[in-house]
Amino acid sequence: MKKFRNHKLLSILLILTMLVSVFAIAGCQKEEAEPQQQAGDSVPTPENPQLKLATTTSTQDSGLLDEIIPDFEAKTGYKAEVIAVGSGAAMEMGESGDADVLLVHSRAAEDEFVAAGFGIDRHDVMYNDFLIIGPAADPAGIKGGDDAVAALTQISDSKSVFLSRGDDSGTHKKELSIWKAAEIEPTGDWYNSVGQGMADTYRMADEMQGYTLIDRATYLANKENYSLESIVEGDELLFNPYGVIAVNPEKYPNINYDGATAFIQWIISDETQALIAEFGKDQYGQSLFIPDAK
Amino acid sequence: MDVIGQGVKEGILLILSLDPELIQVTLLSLQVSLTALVAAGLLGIPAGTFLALKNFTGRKLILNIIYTLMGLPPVLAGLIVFLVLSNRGPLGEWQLLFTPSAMIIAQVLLGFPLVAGLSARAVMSQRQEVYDTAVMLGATRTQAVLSIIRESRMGIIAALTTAMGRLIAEVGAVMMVGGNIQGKTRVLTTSIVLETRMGHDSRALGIGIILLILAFMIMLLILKLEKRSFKDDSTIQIV
Amino acid sequence: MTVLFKLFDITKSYGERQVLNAEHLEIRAGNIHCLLGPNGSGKTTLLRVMALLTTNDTGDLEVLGEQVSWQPSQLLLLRRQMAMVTQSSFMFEGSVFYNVAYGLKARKKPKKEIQKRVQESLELLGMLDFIDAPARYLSGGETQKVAIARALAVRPRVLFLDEPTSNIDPSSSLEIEQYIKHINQQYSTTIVLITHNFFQARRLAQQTSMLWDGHIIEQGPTRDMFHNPQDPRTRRFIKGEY
Repeated sequence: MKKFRNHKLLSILLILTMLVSVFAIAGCQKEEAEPQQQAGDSVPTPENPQLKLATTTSTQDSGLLDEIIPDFEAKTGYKAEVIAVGSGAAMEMGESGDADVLLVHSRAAEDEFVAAGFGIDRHDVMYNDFLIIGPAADPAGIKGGDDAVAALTQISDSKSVFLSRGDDSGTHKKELSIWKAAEIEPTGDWYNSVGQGMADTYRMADEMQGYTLIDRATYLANKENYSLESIVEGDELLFNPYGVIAVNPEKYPNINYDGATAFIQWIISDETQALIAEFGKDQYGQSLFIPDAK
Repeated sequence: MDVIGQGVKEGILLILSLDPELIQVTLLSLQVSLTALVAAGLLGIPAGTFLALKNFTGRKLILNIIYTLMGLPPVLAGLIVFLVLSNRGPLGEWQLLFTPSAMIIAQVLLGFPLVAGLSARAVMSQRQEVYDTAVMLGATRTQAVLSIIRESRMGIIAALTTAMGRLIAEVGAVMMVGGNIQGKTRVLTTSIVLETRMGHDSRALGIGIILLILAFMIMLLILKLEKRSFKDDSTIQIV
Repeated sequence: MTVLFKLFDITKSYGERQVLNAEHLEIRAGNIHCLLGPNGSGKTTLLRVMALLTTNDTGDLEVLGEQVSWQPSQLLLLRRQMAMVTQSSFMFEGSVFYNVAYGLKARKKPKKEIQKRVQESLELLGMLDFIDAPARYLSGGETQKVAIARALAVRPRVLFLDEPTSNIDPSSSLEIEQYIKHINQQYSTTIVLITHNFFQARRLAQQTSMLWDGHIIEQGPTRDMFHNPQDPRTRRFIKGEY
């Protein structure tokens, strides 16, 4: 009898828990909705406030977006839904109409994307640069140089462990372009194509004590945790410009073009550009991204 | 809609193409998950039986821990194995991280609680009379316990089937400790993640179809083994 | 005559409830000894203690000439001289052959001998045709006959029968009684039979112990007990008033 009652008690508790959760969720949604209504007089209320921003993992992993997006939302009333993928995937999303605006770094592909009519209103936003990092022991003997092509040639010749993003991302494309410049087809046991994001690749490179190409933002944000050192930097080949592109509303009428325009205007505005320049200074003593919108 | 149709088409084309890289990825998937399943079975079935039949202090606690771990998130299992095998971890010098061995270890960690927990349930569902009948026919204790396991084999096979399904489809752990290195530790599930991230949705779907076919064939095999051990297939008939 | 079981003041309780308090019981070799009594009188518990399946709380237990120590090695040795059939016998998943051969395989008998003894046992019970049938698909009566054949195959000195016929129809029941008698006479197997059917006790048993609320209230030659019951409760049970 006692056991039976326990069972009953348990079921009632379970049901109560579920009810409470349902109300809690409903409550949260309400809370989220309210401030927008209250703020209605100072901030514009766009017709369609949902804006899908497809961007590269580097902007997300570096923390830049977390820092500046709240400003965008507060000023324009849009709600930015950030989808952080590789540049390649971001542009695929634009091509299939699954994103409204893109913030990517793959200049050649961007131009192609615009030329094919998928994107309009492309603007330069900022740039950062890549560096080649590797183990302090430096088995390829390339530390301190500023020639990326020579460095990769050395890595390949010495068959030192190298990790490639291998995911069609802007960083991956950059890496491939350097191999191309070095006229090397990287294959072999030393060349590891890992198909993961920058932060994951960094962690793996550290574990495997291998070289990899990394953007400065991700490097600075994580370098405290790992033992890899900067080996080669400063080569012009290693510069990495970011562009913002609106997805062409003529291709997909459901695209939130107004939102995309608002985002573009906001990110190339002097105030936002100043925000970008500030980002990272207090923490790393240097800017992670250099604004260059014209 | 078009992506799905194209994905199915691409999946069939992928299989027909016998792409050597894809074959290697598929074989590695099989090798990792089947090895992990065998290990999880060899450890989990005895452990589950022991927990089901042996009374000792802490038994309930251990069982509850195992039941909880049956829902262990693959990423968490991956993280644990990663931290242990990392260069900074206690077993770093083994240099197993980002190798198939690390993936197998992580999958054993995932599969073991499932096999042990479900085997324990299956054994516990057997009644006292199985043991009594066995010992009254002169069985030693070991023989009687083996008979109980034999009577529980339907449930144990279900445990193995469930574990296999979980392991072959799991991505979090193998991604983390395997690293998805092309030609070394890339398996079907991590390929799907990568292809999706690269925006190759239909190719990802195609690999997914291969994964499903594989899972289906493994289930068929297990069911066949099951049928062979049950000469009379006892199903409930609902008229 | 050899005494196979000697019990003194055997008690067993489950929690607060004492289910058995058997002051004195002896079972002699070669007999069919019946434990008679209504449901819940402690017959099965008593039988399980004798079969070493349930430990007694207190008292003195001597089985097949040995003081029971409950050491696994002793239990195995003693149990290998016993066999048991319960009212709805458990059949292992598998064929009739698998079930009847079970005890012989456990004893690691050679294959040929197993084959021969399984056939003999099934033949004796008229069940040879069923040798390859799945054991879980037999009727109640067939199951009990296979269970008896299975018990018989190990040539036990003692056969425990716990209401072996209470779940089956009267004609099968009578048939099984004939087999029980036959086994007792042919192999001089001692049989301890539980029943709540006093006609069955009278047809089969030389000795009967009457159980009531865990106590043995009366025992002796079956014939005497039925003609001249001493205890009023026995008298009323025999008259069918319970």
